[in-house]
Amino acid sequence: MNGEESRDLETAGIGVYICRCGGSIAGEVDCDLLAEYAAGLPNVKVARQIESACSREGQALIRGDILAQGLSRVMVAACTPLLHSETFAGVLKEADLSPSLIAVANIREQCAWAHPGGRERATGKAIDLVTMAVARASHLRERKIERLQVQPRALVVGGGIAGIQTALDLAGSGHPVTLVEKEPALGGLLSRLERIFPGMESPLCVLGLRLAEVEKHPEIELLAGSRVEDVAGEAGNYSLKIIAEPRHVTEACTSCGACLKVCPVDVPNARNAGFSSRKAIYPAGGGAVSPAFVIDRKACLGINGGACDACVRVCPEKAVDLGQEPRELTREAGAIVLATGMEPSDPAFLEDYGYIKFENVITSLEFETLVRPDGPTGGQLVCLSDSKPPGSVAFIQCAGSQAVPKGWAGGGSLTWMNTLKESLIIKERWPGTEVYVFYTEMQVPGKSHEDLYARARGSGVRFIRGLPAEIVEAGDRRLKITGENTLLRELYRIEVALVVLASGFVPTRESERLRRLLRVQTDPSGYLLTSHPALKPIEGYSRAVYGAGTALGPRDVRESIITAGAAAARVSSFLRQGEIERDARYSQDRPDEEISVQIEALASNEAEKKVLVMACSGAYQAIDLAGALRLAYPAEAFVIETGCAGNISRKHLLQALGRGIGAVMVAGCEPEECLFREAGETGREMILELKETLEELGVTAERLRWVDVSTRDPGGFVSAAREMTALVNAIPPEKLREESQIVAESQHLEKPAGPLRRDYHRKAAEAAPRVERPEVRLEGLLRREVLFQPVERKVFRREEELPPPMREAPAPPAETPRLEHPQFSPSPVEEEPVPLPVSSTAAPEEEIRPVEAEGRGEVFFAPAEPPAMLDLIPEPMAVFINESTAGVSEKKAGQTEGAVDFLIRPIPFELPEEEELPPMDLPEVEPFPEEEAPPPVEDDTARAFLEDLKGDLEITPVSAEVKGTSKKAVSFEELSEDLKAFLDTEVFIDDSVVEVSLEEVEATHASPLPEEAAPEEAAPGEPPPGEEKEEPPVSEEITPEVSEPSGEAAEEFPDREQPASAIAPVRKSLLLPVKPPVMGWRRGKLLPVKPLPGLFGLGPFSPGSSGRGTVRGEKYIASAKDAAPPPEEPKEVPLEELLIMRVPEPPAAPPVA
Amino acid sequence: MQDLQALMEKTGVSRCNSCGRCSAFCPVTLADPNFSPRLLIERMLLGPVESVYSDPRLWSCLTCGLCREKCPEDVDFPLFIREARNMAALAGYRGIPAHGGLPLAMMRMAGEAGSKPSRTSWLGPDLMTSDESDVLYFVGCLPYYDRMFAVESPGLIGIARNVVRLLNKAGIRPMVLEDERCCGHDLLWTGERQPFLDLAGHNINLIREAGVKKVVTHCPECCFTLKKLYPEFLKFPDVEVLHWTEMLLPSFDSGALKVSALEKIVTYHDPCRLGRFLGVYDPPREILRHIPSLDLREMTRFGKQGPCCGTSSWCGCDAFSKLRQVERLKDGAMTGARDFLTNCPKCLIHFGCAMKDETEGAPLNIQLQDLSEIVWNAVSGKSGDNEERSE
Repeated sequence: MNGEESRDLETAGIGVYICRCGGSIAGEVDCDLLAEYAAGLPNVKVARQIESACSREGQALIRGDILAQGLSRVMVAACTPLLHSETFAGVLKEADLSPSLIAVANIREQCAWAHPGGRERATGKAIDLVTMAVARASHLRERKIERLQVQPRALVVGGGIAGIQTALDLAGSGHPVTLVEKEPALGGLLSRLERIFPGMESPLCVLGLRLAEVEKHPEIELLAGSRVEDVAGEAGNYSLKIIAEPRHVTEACTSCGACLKVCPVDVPNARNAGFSSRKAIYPAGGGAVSPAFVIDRKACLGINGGACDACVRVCPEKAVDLGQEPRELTREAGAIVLATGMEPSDPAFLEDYGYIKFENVITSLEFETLVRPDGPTGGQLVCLSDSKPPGSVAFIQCAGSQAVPKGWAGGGSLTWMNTLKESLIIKERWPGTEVYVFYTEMQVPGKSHEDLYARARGSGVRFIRGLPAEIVEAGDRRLKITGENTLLRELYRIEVALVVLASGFVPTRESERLRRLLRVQTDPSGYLLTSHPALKPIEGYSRAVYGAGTALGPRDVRESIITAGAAAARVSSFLRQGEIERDARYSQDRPDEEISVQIEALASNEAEKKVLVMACSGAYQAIDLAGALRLAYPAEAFVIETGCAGNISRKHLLQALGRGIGAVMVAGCEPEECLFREAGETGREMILELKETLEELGVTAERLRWVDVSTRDPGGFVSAAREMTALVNAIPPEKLREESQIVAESQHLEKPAGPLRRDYHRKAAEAAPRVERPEVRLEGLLRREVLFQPVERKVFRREEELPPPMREAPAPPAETPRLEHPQFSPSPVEEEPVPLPVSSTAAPEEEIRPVEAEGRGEVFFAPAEPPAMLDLIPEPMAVFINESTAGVSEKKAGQTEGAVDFLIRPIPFELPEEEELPPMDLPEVEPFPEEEAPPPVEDDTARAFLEDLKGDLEITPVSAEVKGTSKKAVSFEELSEDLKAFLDTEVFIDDSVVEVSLEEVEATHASPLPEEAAPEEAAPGEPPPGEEKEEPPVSEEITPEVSEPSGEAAEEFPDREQPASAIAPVRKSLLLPVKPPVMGWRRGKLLPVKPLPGLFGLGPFSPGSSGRGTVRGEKYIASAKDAAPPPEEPKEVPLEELLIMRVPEPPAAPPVA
Repeated sequence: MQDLQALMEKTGVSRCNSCGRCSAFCPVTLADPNFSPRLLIERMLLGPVESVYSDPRLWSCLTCGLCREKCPEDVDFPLFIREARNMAALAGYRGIPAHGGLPLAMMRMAGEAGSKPSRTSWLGPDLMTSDESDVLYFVGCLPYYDRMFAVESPGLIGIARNVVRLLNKAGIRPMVLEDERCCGHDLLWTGERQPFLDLAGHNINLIREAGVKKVVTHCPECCFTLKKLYPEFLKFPDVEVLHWTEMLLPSFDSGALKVSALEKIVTYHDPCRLGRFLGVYDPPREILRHIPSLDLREMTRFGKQGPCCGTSSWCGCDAFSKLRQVERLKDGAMTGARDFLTNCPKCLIHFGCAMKDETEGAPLNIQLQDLSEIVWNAVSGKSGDNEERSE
């Protein structure tokens, strides 16, 4: 030590204050002894205990001492300096002392809390900590305070109700706000609910108003479909890189929905829990929350290199732009609010509740989807197995508000209230339904929540105390629940049709990524950890990072709004400062001797047993967290905070080893979390190099170690500390002393032997395997990934690009009737309208009996009658194979004779390995000019393909399946030319190729079939007439095979007594590609649900009264029928019905040609 | 008592919130509604905690671990029972031993100094062992049980022979110890800690002196005891403990052990110590799947949810035990399997007893078999039908 420092020491009068922390410290550490000891340390003028140093009294005491005793330095032994060093610095300031002259000994998080159960050990460590801190205090110098301009803008991440409210509140108080939402529409989890408690109003009431406000507020910059990619900077001056995904639909869009009808892509609709599908272009928010359209970039063919531009061409407003690219934006923000939300946990791991195994076990969010009028069933609560209303429903409170040890996600009263709400929905809409709620504890705290409970009880919901131990499926898909009624102390065995798992909640995965970016800490459940559970319930551990809504933990809408307001208030008061003092933790100004003297002080007592941890500021937080979580680690580990670990000086490491300290560990941030990545790498390299040098000198290299510590997870530090202590204990003291001697004498070590080598990563991988940390909820997460992964559609493109004319000069929609939908332009067949299917004959739900398909097939509905479908097919583009669709559906036997329209066979369609079909070598087809017929099919490839497909079919005579009809498959040659052409130029072929009887089609049209068909067949390859599309299209599909009507058929169609030569019912089947169903994927299965009249309930194209909110219960069927357009007015048929087409019943009196 | 309080915290018993999931599935509760893990806990939490010592229900628990599987709060009820029984035994309480206490007496005797067992007499000339081997085969009490339960389950020693044969086929000549003793599992679980420690110390010394790298057992309880319980109480040498199915599965996977087809329908009962306590659910099934034409059918409950064979630790065998055993056997018969396989000599004895006594009137059309038997038949190419285990 030089003369200047010793002078400084002599003049320094240090005040030492030992905080008892209301017993929190005094319980583990003997504070009397500590104070007594501190009083004897050099330069200490005052040494006191304080019950609570951070309290007003405590502060006043310190301030008084400074003034009265003329103290020049203050040392407080209390909680972590992260918490209150600023408080104490403020005290110094008030007493006209430079605020940098404070040293804090962390005897709570890193001593009292981290080593429970051993009072002597904790006290011993506290003594050493105080010694170190006093030594440091002696060397404190006045430090210049850096001041920093605060950016006026706030960033709010997450566009759920909390994010929206925060943004509105902030903007309302005059702060510019950037609101980033990863989905294309705002609304979050709330928008997927049917009702909110306790008022039982629709969430749209809450959301609707605010959405409009957000969109038009001048101070709010709304970035929907965006994500925060990177964060740099510090509190007051964050710089954010934001990736904004393009919408591909401009504001010219009027939400007319024309594009929906031509988009060939179907993907599971996440908004409907995958129970239904949507197009690649779709109204964001499902139409209910936001009608604005957007294109799903992952699913769209055109964007992903396919040749599809159907929506571009059909859009009357020219609002679709497939060429948009993601934009990278940069925003400066003074403060960040995380409103990243939560999501329901995946109950798959509760094996005995059978969520994976049984279709009729659903989660509460899936339940909400089913009862939502704009959901896939139009608000009908149905069992997934048979689409029938359940007569009985059981709710299982499996959230387990306390059952965290086994990973049951918590949800607390939120889950309870949600179940109450859902049971009430059932009781109010379907009063006959039995409802059971299995629970272990009731949690109905809060205003008007008790009322809801009383209402549920009053409406006949049965509450059973005792969680089910097992759910098994009975033969008829009903579920048997077994458990103990713990009030009656007897077993119950209850059978219900539907089980709803009231699952708990977990933070969204997106929020985990963000917290990693921002280096904010999370509690064990993964929610944002606030820097004080009671006093700072909004503030994250990182300065100027706040939480709002469910990012802080599960809470309901009301509480979310409250936290949003609180966050806005805190952010506002932070931003209004305009200028702040720079966070000391980012200061690089850390005089060497402050660290040196601490090492010296540490080494003065039993050095050989100790482990010195030099921690960067991020790792220091993690080590504090270890204490807060009571993760015990050896008391021999002493932490010195060093700023960035990359700054750690070689000199200090050598000093520690040379002074005989057992081991030295450098704790740095994990590379992904490190703010100063380069610096961290330099630190790692330095350690590696030094280890090698030490080894050469015969010093145990393991005594020096680098450990990566995640700010959010102290587990890595704890295990490393244990290992290092064990290592130190294993080395004999003599050897340690010997080694220290070597290090101490090798002064040349202070300079590295050569330039640092940049091969750290390889070496690190070899030298230090990453510490395995226990993963919370891993199983659930993984399964969720599997479960909710959208079905990937394989897209097969032609090997060649499409013929140029088709791409370069697409016919304008007005001139291409093929693109037209009857809804938008009247059908050209004025004189004989094509009776549009479905709705006119839409049977009540019960009459549709889906049959479970064999193999991988699933259930869905019949294809359109081919002509109508042809009309919808815009251009040859690409071929789809949808591996999850193929199925059987039939009308219930016993229905009106002759009403059986179709039969689809399940096809166990085996995809080749790698799930990658070879590119289909379909023949090049000329564009389909109206005046020209499709070219004759001469290429064998398409035929071979179809033959191949047929090989995979199980073709059974339909008559064997459905009484009263006879159908058969036909070969490719037997198809009409038009159909051949159609198949050649097919836009999409599912793996389901079906048999369809044409009987009814023909019966319906009863057009002059045979006469016109015969010549066409006589000359196959002859171009069809140019105006073919205006004809009843069936006539074009007639195959040469004409059979006589049997007596049975005559019975079927009693009306059709016409001479066979004129209107003989031609029995033919054809192979027809099936449109992907508008139906859901759920655990790889499709939910067979009825198409609804108004899928997009609030959208402008919803047909009249069948929109959202009017369909309830039994009325549904009636309204579905009402909404169905009569056959004479095909243009009113909603889209979905057209796509899931069913061949209509034959009209009573078919017109005769 | 301070100890019991600490134990309640350690095993999480005080976390119990009486959700009832345990008692809805506890095999004892289903037979005897007066017993229930949660009720035992509930009563004890009310105090005085020592009341649990004099409670006869302390000894009814099968320690099968099903409740621990079901418990959302992760209460380690089996561990609690084990330790509470030890404390109760110190306070002078005991359960009612099965078979007049003979098996337990035998274990206590084995632990006494001066006893000279002869544990290798069952080895035939076709079984190859080696004193230089890296692998020790820990035989356990099988030679005694072979004599003791010759009526209930004849030919038990065949299991040991099959295991040695299988090891030989896989190219392993195991070491077999002359002076090996009972592992002491049952003593520990009936509260007799000191005799257990005597046995454990003896066996650990033998294993250390043997200088082997791996210990293989056929008995799930030996496997569990050596692998988990010995290290809990004593310093265990750096030796890997494996069940024979774990040890030999790689040989089956690699094709080193060839198997021939067996036209059989079998079902497999998971022993609690092998399954829930050691997590070895798959290796036995994997080995069975290697046998061509063999049809393995699972019972309604298997794996983690599989019930107990009815009795454990030679303690408290009664009419309820028989009831459970018969239920389980019927469960197996329901699958259509002819062979009811298990992997534990005690399961064989208990089920064998139930087959003899309880199903006399309406004999089930199933045959009890040890897994090793059917695997050896497949490896050696025998049909295995109607062959006695003993050779």
